[in-house]
Amino acid sequence: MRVFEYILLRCINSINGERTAAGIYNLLVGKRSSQTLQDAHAYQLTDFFAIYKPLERIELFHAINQLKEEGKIFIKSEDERPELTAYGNEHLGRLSNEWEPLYFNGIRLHEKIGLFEERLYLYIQTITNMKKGNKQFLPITDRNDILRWVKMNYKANKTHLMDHIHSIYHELYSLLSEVNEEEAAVFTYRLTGAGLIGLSKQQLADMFHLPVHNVHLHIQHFLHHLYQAIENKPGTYPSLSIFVEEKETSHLITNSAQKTYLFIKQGMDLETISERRRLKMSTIHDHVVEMALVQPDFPVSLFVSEQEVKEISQVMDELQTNKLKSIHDALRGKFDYFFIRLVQARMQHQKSEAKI
Amino acid sequence: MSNRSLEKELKHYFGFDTFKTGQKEIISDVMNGRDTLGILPTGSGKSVCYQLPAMLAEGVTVVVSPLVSLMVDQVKALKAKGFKRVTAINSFLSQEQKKQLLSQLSHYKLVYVSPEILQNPLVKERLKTLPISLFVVDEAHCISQWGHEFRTDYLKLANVIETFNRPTVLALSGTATPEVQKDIVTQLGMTDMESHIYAMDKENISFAIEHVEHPNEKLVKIEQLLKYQHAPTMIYFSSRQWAEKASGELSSNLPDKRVAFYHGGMEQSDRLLIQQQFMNDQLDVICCTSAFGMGIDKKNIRYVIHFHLPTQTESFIQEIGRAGRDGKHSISVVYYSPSDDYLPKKLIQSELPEAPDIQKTLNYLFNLYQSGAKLPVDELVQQELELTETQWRFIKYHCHQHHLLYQQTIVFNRDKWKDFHTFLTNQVENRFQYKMAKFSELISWVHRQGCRRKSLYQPFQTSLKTPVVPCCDFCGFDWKNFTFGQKEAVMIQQDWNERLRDIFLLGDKHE
Ligand SMILES: Nc1ncnc2c1ncn2[C@@H]1O[C@H](COP(=O)(O)OP(=O)(O)OP(=O)(O)O)[C@@H](O)[C@H]1O
Ligand SMILES: [Mg+2]
Ligand SMILES: [Zn+2]
Repeated sequence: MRVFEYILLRCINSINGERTAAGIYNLLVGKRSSQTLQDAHAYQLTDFFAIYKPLERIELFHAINQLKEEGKIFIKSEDERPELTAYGNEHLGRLSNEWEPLYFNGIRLHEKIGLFEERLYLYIQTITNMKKGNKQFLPITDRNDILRWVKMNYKANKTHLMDHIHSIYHELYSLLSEVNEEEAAVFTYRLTGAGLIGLSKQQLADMFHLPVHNVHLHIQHFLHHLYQAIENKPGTYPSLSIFVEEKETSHLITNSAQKTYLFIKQGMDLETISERRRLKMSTIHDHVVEMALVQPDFPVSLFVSEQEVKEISQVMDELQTNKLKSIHDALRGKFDYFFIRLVQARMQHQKSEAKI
Repeated sequence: MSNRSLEKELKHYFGFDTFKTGQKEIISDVMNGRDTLGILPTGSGKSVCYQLPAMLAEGVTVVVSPLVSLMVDQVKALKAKGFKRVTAINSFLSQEQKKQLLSQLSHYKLVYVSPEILQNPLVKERLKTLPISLFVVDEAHCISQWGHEFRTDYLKLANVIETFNRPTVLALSGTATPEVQKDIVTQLGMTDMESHIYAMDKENISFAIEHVEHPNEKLVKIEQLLKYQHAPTMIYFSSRQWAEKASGELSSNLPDKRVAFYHGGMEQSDRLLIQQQFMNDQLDVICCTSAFGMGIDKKNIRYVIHFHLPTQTESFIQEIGRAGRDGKHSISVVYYSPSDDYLPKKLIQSELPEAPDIQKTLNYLFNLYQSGAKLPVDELVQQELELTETQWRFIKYHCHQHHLLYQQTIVFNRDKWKDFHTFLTNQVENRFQYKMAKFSELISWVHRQGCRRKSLYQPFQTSLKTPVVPCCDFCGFDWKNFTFGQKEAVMIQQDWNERLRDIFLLGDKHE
């Protein structure tokens, strides 16, 4: 399984027996729920958020099972939460040597990568067909927005097409040379040129004798790498930089949460919002936590005092856990789960700042 | 318009020198404002029959097409050919995209729609404001109760035509029995249509059927058949699992063949790649479900093999219609094992509600009625009642017919509802029997002694063309020893940097 295995072991290691496999699934497919976002932050797994959108639940359970059979993890039967065995831990070390550094940055890029990918593929198909003088070709996407974007950018570069193709080629080539051979090969065969159609994931898996999981992750990984390389050094990759847009604010917050936020900003208290919106209080709480997670500057102080934050965060530090129940119990039920989650959210921002 | 100029226009817009059988007759009638029914064999060029008038006529041409994928493919193909003023409105567009498209609709000459989207008030209202000169119903057999599938929104087209200020109507189909042909005319609310009915048999297709004991034997047979052939091949399966399994086995046992599978469960991007590889002769064999095919217009498919049969003769004829679109010799092969009858029966059952479903649905509606709620959107209802799309569509249609539903409002009447329950139960049973009878008809074709061609087309027409290729295994075609010749076409694996150069057309080969 290799890369996929590595990522799974990383996840299992980080969540440290505090979440079930379903939690890992939600992370990898990028489920938009407060719980998933919160977990991603809490366990520092934000890089892997939504890097495997087409993953089927059953496939993940197969893989987890396999890890168990190989003795790399064990699963406590009472709560179905996987943990690494000593052997698994050792194995993770080996895989880490093999695969790091990884360039995934799911939390920031997950909404951009899909678009980036489709534009890139179609653009290459388009310019190479034009070079060949082949005006009638069937685009490999059905999405009109992508078609329009490609057409516009093609027109902008049409006058110097040959040079343009050359530099796109050279920039891609140099970026492909930076990653491992297997990844470069998988990605190259995914591309479509004039009269040379790219391969499906299953075909790539067959050709390179890889599980489909790894094919998917190789492609995703290269896209993340590519995107960030261009973003960081647009001067080095001037032709490819047309595919990357300026950084913008997060779209992560769900619409419903945004509405709640609007009311909060108007000074309404949570009970009133709950009544007004005919939503359960727990849902409103979810919204608040969701926003606290996504926005570093969210005014947590509207809901908990500095003193309370201190008290809760102290216990979290002592216990070294993100398990709500443990924290709640250690505080002898003094605080509602909502407050604990809010404080968690706030601390995650501090953590990730510390990381940078 | 004189005929000479029609030919010129054909050349101008499509690059063809002459019309194929039936095209010119149909186009002339349509251009003269006559409502027309055109029955032409699969792959005979029905699209041109409305695409050319669409280019020439003043107003807008609206085409009703049953499958979104089919629409999208056709729009893409037209755009690739340089027709820009064509678009499709379908349920896959987001609300935002739909709005934008609708606001620019007057820009287009040719608009593809699904029958369902025509029931969308926004779309209908917008279309009403356009000068629609031609209204086309493609795959018009879908309109018939006795057709392939129960597409209830097809039955509302008569009404749509009226609201659109009664444009000229053209109905096209590749597979319609005389009974269905009549039904098409009636259901469209027409009394009189110019009919152009052409025989549906394909003179360049040979037929063969082989009986085996067990499904696994089929794969061995297919291997033997394809081993020494250079021939693009489609193999139809009725399940995704089988398509994948067969693709895997054929790839490993036929190492010099490029084999892949295609089905509705794949990611969209992968589907598009596989489809284009096949079009582009980068694949030799494609193992697919019926999800593949409708929009496929590959000219040189030599074999259409049925690993599993569809549920009726009409579908079978459609599927073999993918073969030999270049007019050259092609072969239809059916492998049949007795256990095959099971899958289609399951399939037919899954399309119809079961007795408990009916009761459950009525209870559900009654609860809604009592709480004063309206009927929610289809997806929700389906989820709530655990019904498939076709099952719910079936129930909903009859609820409307019997006035249990008025638009989204539930109308309650105890006696009426009781009667309805009985009626629907019977209706399901009838429909099931009917569909099973259709399936049996196809199965009995497989078992019948005698010329395959004659018995296949018998329900559709009285006479047959003389085939220009060997007729069938029964008439002495030695298909097992026949070969289209050989050519090595192996997928060689290159270094990635070589491949990259090839994609970008760089290097000695290209410069
Ligand atoms: N006059 C013509 N001369 C040559 N080729 C033609 C002509 N008209 C149509 N064709 C070609 O015939 C092929 C089949 O056309 P089309 O898809 O319209 O068939 P169809 O009858 O709609 O088939 P289906 O049963 O699949 O719906 C296309 O490749 C088309 O370009
Ligand atoms: Mg057609
Ligand atoms: Zn015969």
